[in-house]
Amino acid sequence: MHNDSELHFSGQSTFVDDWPLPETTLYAAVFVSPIANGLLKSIDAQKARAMPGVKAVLTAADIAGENQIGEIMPDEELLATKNLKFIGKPIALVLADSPATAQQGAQAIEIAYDELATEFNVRNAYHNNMTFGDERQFTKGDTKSAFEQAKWVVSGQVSCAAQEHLYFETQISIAIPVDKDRLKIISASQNPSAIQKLAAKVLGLSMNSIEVEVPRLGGAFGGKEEQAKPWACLAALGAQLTGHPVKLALSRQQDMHWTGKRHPYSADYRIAADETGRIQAYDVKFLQDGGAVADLSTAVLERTLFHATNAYQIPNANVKAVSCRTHHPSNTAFRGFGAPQAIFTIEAAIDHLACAMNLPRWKIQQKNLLQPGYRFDYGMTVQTDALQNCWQQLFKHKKIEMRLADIQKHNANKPRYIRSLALTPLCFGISFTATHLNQASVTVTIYTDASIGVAIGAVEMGQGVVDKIAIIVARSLGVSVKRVRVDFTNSSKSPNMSPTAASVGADLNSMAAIKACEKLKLRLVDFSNTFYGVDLSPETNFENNAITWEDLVANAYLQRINLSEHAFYATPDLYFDRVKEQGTPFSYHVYGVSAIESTLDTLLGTYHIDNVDVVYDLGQSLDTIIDLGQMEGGLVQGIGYATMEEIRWDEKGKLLTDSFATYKIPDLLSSPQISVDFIDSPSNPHGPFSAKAIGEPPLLLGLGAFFSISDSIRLFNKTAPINYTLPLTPERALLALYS
Amino acid sequence: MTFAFDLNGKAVSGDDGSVLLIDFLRYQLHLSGTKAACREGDCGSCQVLVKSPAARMFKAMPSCLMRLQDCQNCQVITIDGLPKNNPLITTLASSGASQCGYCSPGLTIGLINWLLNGKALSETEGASFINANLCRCTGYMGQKRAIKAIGEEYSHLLLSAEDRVAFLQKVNVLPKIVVHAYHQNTTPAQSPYYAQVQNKSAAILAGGGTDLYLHNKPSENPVISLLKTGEDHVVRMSDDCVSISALHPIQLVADTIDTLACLPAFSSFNHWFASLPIRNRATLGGNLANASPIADGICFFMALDTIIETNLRQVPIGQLFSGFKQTDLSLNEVITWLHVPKSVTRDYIYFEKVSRRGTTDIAVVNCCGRWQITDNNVSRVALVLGGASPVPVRLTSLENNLLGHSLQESIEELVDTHLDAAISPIDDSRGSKVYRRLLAKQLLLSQWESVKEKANHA
Repeated sequence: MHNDSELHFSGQSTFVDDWPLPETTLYAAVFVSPIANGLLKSIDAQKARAMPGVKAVLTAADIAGENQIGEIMPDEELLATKNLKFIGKPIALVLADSPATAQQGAQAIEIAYDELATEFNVRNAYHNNMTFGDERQFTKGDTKSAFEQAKWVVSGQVSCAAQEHLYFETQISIAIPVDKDRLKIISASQNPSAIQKLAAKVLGLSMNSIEVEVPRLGGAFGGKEEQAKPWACLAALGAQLTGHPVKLALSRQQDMHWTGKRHPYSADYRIAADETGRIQAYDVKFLQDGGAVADLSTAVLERTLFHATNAYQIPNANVKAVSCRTHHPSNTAFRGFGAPQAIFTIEAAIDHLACAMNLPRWKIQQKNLLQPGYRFDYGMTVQTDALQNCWQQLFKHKKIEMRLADIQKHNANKPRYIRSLALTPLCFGISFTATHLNQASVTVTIYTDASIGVAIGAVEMGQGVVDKIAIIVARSLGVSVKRVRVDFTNSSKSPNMSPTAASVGADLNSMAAIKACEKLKLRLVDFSNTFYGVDLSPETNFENNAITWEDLVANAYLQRINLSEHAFYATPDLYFDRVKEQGTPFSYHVYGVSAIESTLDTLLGTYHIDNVDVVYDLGQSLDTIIDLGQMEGGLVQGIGYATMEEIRWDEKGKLLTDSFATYKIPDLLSSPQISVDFIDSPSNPHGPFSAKAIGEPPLLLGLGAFFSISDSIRLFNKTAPINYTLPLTPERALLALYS
Repeated sequence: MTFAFDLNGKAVSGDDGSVLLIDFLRYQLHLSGTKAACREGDCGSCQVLVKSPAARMFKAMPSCLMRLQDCQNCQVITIDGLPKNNPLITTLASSGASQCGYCSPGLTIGLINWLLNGKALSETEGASFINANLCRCTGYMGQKRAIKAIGEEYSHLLLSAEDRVAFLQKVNVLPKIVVHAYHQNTTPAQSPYYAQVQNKSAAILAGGGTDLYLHNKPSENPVISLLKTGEDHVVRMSDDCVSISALHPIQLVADTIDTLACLPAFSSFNHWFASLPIRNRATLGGNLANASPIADGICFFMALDTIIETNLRQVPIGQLFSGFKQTDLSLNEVITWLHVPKSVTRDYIYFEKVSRRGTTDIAVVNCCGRWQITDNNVSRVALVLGGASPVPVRLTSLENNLLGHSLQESIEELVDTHLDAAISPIDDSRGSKVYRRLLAKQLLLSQWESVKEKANHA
């Protein structure tokens, strides 16, 4: 279980907003672009500067270093100089002696601008060549002839909407100046090293002048991987120029208006099958709404390509994808990272096929499930029969066929409340697709009082990485986990960190931790052999050993034995050739299947997701409560994405759903009963103690909520148009029921 | 306005009572255990326990929607005031109900509120008490496990305990502060703020402030809070009326109505109306005076032919509203009572609303029907739709044509004929015009289903 749980429930865990501040601290407010596209002509900050309590108003002209925070592409100024590309683009920073005064100062700033035409439609953007990078294409076999020869061919369009992260802790950073040219930044970021690098660049300092610390995050889900950067850099800029500590926190509304969401997608698919439902060919093209700047959009797009065929073997595939530029705030990483849109699209295509063939969807899914030996279009081969196992176990233990028959019986007389059950199989690749990010360094230190500190390159945001590392270290050293404490994430303790993302934070850091512990333990065992004359094995558990851990550590210190060890792990054998679009981008795949049962009120179009059963290939779980929590939470986030979570903008690009009152996430009563079986498959050489990743995949298993509800709609209204649009809100459901 | 109250057993006071309680706790006293996630009463993270001198029990309330002046003379317990080594927290922590931890302190408070105020302490009841505690991480299965574990651990002990606060203090769940005795409250005329209404100038009148404090930033305007926390004079029964206070918290109204069993339909209304901490602050008067087209209270009480009493007059509820979010209340006028004729309380009353999420969500369209069925025919009916026009509307033409209609027949044709002209829905972030129009019709058909089902069971 989470070690921090008791702290959390008693309100004693420290988040960035709880950090004690020096009295000299200034509070920052950001003045942003009120328009989605335009040219900035002038900024008038006179009134703001004259306000009592306002200490400074900073603009791009005040930046000593480089006014640039784009990483994949240099297309993102920290403070706009000329181009206003979206509503929420920072233009000026107001520093004042209270948060309220700073906000009033920001409201007093006036700008002159020329408004330009906006584009929010991804298809129009594509046709106008507003793109980030080139179109990518994965191919396998010969789709052209397969389509010609196939018995069944259907085609259509899919639309996936944006999703708001709605982390409970909004974007926040504190920057504290030290010495003449050093800064300590405390930031709610999944990516401390990127903040260190970019703050240094903006401030014109070197990276060794900047230390970034992250105590923990109040939720992130991808939303603090790239998008914590501007606020941290702005706080740093304010601290550099005023010499005061600066705190910058976004309000809920600011956060919702100004930061990016999950990428909306529009996709065209064509799928072909033989008379038995075996898929012969799949042709798909994804248009991604990247928003106004590149951010991580091309990386997100790449994962869409990798997961285009989800958990199915398809002999002939042609997958194209392109990231398009619009005037929405830049869309960004969100749990699943491009995979949800890909997987929803193939599931929609299969659903369409099933309708055309008048077959139950699950039979087509079952017939085409991945088998060992199948080669993906990008070159990797399926290694295990885990997916087949998950599918069979689900059917057997959760009595799927019996329940389907019960449901059919229940629905036979067309009652007001129609029930449906939808299955979703999943294959998800584990690793950063940007190969170089698959590295981590960890330092394990035994202190002279025998307690153990661990510095890791991952950020705790509720996913339990800190607990998993503590378990790993305790097991590896042969001591109780109570002795182990993982430090707050710090760029000086764990240099050159990769972002905590891609579900690999626990994997990478655990592997490094194991290496460090092995070296430490060997050293201590050698020492005890010499010092005590006892022949200890490397498997020794020091909690029930004649030589106590305390004694061993105390003596080792006196004998000048190094009690600290740093280790580095880089996932072996990963590569990807982006010219050939072939390689081994993942260290392994995880597999799972969900069954989602729902009830639809055909009179009102409202629905309830009643229960979800999951079988998931978890390898050897390090902590079942943590892994269960990832599964349950991810599922509900995915169900929210598929059902009630809807973002609306007005025609000018202004967000309409900018609060908890208008953007609805699932609550307890609307959430299903969830029952999870973890398959403890034997060995996984790429995971710590044979564990497997579980951060993102559960969200994808929630997508079946869409098909569960849409099945009920079609049972009620045979002529309902097939409309694969996420989310399937009660509004869309009712309109479909009576179209 | 000054303030003085008891916080975690210690007296606090000051000059600026307009500061929000959450900001006072977090940024003035550095009691940062209480978290703010939405700052609009929608997430439950910032809940605190509040007992006014005129209340028998502590209740969970949103500290983001309360000013310090609202805490005057109250006892407030926050997460930072709970005893260390709290056994409730130990049980909670092992349930997996916490991941990132930001919503966790609010959940602890929400569960203590359940243990203090729950009637059955069943799993279902626990879920309804903490449903407003939103969580973005866990998917709520941990919360369900926590309710079960805590219910099993405490329900028997608490249901038989004479004094739940004392019991929870004994077992180290609540701090051992001296709890103020219950004082019967003042009548309306003696309310501390009521006199000020007479001389009101720039001040804003508020019920519990749960809507006002969303938009009205601290210290911009003086606020006169009309909320009454005393537990007497909440509901009055006379020969011809059930009279309901407009100035008491809605949950207190619901509890009182429940005890008196005088308006059974109100409990279903209450279930759909906001979350428990909001209901512990919000008033029917505030809900009405806001005059929102989707105000559940207007929809419900319009169908009940309610007479509104203010400090100046009595007026049928339908005549109170003059347009979108507009009433004809004068500057110094305060809604004090809702009088529901006793004759209508015996009718079958069915309130239903459709929203995106279902619970703790604002209606897209709501509908309340009041039906009398005689010999399988409609002998009396009132139908109100909210969210389909600038103000909730009574569907008189449809009502007239439903009289004498047989339960054996469909009402769809009548609805089709009489609905369209009666409503004028708009597009907004909650739903499109087309959707609202269809939904209005479907809710009326659902009324009919409900009436038929009721008749079958009778």
